Amino acid sequence: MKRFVRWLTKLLEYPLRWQQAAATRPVAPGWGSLMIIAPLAALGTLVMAIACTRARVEAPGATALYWLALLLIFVPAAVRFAAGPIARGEAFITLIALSIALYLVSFLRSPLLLRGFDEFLHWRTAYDILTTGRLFTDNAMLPVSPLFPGLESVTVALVSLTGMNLMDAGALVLVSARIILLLSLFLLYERASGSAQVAAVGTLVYLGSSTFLYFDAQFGYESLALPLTILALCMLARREDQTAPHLPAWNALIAVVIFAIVLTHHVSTYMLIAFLVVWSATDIATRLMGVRGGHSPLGAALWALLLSAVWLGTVASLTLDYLKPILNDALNSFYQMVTGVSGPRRLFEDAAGQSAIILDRIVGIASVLVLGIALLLGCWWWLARHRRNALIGALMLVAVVYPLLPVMRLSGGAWEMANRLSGFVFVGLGLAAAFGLIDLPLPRRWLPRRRVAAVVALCIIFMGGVVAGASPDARLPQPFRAAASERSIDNEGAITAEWVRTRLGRDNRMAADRTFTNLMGSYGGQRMIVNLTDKISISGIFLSYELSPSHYRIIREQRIRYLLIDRRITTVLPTLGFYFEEWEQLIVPYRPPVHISPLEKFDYMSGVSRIFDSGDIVIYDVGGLWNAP
Amino acid sequence: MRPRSFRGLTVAAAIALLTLAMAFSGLRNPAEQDGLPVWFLPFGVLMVLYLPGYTITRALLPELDDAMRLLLSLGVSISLTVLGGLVLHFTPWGITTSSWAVWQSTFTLLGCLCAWACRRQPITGRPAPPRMSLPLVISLLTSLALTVTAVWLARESAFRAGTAFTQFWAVPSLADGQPALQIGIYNQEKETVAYQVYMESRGRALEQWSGIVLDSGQTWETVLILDSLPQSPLRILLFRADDPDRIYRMVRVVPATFDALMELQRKP
Repeated sequence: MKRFVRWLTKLLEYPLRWQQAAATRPVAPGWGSLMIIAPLAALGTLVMAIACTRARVEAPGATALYWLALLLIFVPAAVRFAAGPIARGEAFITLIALSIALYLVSFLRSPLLLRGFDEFLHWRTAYDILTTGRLFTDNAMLPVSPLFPGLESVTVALVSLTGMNLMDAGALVLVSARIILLLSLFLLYERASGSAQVAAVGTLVYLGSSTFLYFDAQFGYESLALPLTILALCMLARREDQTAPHLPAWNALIAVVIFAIVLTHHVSTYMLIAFLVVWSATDIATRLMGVRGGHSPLGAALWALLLSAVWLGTVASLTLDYLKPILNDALNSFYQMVTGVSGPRRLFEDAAGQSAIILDRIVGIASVLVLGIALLLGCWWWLARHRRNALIGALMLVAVVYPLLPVMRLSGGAWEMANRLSGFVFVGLGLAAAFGLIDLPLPRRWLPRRRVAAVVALCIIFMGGVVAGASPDARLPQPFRAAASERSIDNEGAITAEWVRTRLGRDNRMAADRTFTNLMGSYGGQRMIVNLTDKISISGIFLSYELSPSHYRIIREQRIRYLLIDRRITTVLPTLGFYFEEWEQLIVPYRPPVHISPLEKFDYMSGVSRIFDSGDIVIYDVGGLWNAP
Repeated sequence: MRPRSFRGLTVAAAIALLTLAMAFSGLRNPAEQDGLPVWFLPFGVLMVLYLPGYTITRALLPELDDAMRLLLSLGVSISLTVLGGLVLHFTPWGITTSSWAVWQSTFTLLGCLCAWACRRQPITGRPAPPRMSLPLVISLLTSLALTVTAVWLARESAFRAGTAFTQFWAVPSLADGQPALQIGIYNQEKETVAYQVYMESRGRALEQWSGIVLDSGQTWETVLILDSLPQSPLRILLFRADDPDRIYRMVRVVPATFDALMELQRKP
């Protein structure tokens, strides 16, 4: 046994013999290649804007311009960071430029309107805070959103003190969050590894997370909570060797940041607690190995746990009911796939059944392979050189979860969970991959080739994240299409929502199709009838040729005041298989689209007024049916 | 060694005091929910996203390096603002422009005062950041110009790609118990259009409005007070002057809707 351990240790420490060979070049003072990188990144955003312009009118070349834009933004930074030692200031400013440029990649798709359904839900929470002056308002479509009002509070503060509109203020908050995210990651990795170059490359690896480019750039609570979580970790890392005079100040500031995370997002809080527990465990383990450690993160873990428990118990008890079904579905689905009860989902196919193109498939698979190899090499270097470092140990333990994510993506129910976990797992994977790509010592003659390989690997990882994070249709704006999820949101719908809010007043009970339920429930400020909250079905009210007694009863008992109809749904099939509610696809296999006649029945009913007509969109006042026999 | 400078703290304190003055001056941007005027934007952004964290960290952690100072200024400011929302929710005043101004300014001024009070602490030597050369400044300004152009281009193309349409409405209401109709047109046709509105009931003409010329983005509205509750459905038709024989938009108000309104007034 002893001989085996000695042999293993020799194997692990083999690369150390090349450490002398890889003598570090001195870091040149100054701003380095910033003069080239910043304009190239900005040029990339301009090319992205051109790509979006062409995509809106389905002109050729939009996709090619899209990838060119991404490479213009990413590649110069990758080349610079992989080339050699880098000054901290240069890395810092480069990462700020990257944060802004990559945020704009998401923003430029829809610079005038919100885009994702989640964004509408959080917009509504922010709007309610702004107009009522209070937190914890009612949000029928996402009841848990007002219970974590961190993002919305900051946005409302900006609106109040700047006169900006909610959407622009939200964009500014998100840009700030992105900057915090990348700078915190950089400083965290730098603290752990002692190298600005490793930190910079690790941060670039993080950009390959499937949630980075789009999901965590949207107006949603994780978009602020995740950066604050990494900030807290960075502050704890920095606090490790602080002495007594400054220690209380660090503790106070860390406590404030953790409190803000608890108020902003449930899952980020639990991930923070989990990581701090792991870090505390590695801290204890390294102390037992004889390492003289810094201040333990256990206190921070307990503080986060206490705050989270109090928040759950007093304000946000709904959270468990909200998360439990999601977790159950994912675990059940994964279990069934692993045990063979159900088959794996079809890879490279999105929820609407659209298949990925061949380039996406190649990049997706290549990215997983590259990350796997980088992770292996990173683990080797960790065990050889950094195994007595508690922080690195904790980050590596997070990184080794990564191989589970592609497996989870094989399961239909766990696919979404794998996607969401990506943003957290990559916090550890970034450092691990950076170790493998550029820190693991190699023979001197391999170093030039290693730099090139590192740049290529970083590009593959980044592109893999883009491919995994959004389908081709979602990466660029598309011309309007009814009944097509986010593609069905256009200026006519948004202006109608604004009209409803200003002319009809707030919180009227209204029913509509899936797209307008989101639009009217957020921009429109209405109380939409949704199955999740109201436990009734409204599809039949719209799709039947005549209202039945049960339909009249629903309208009366639910006090539904308005019905909104988008006549354009009669021209297309729904991409998700239903127009109003998911169960329709089980009963109504739409072959031709829904006919206009059922939707026009309200024009001939004596108790119904048609109060709004914009050609495509019609609103009916059905208050007159409340007393109908 | 670089001497400590209090210029930043002085500017922060001045902006905080200005914010308080603006918040209690009553000057507002009515278009955006009672926010401060748009010209105050750069100061407001600093007050929410940077200054509270900057002054607090200057006071509590005077020896921080520039990189960490920048990061903590952003992060702590945002965190304090998140907490501010919770605290202000429980105050009698609630979450308003004035209460935000008080919250953000309090922390900013507190940080300034503490940092000034601690000014006798020894100054640590820290090298100044490298100077930015003229080519670098030009490069950064070029980057800014390209980015602004990109955003402008995307917004313009998104606006142009939007659908052209006209909204037409007739919203029934009760004004002091009198039945009324709020009739309106909003032109988003991306061109100037002349409209005509015609109201009828059972084929009998009741009211007419002609020669309504609206530029794109303009709205026309009128409130029609009805003599009595209508006994039959009212049809209000919109025509375009360039196509006078085709009903362009149609709205219809039935008596039962007014009955429902009266019921709502009695028991909301």
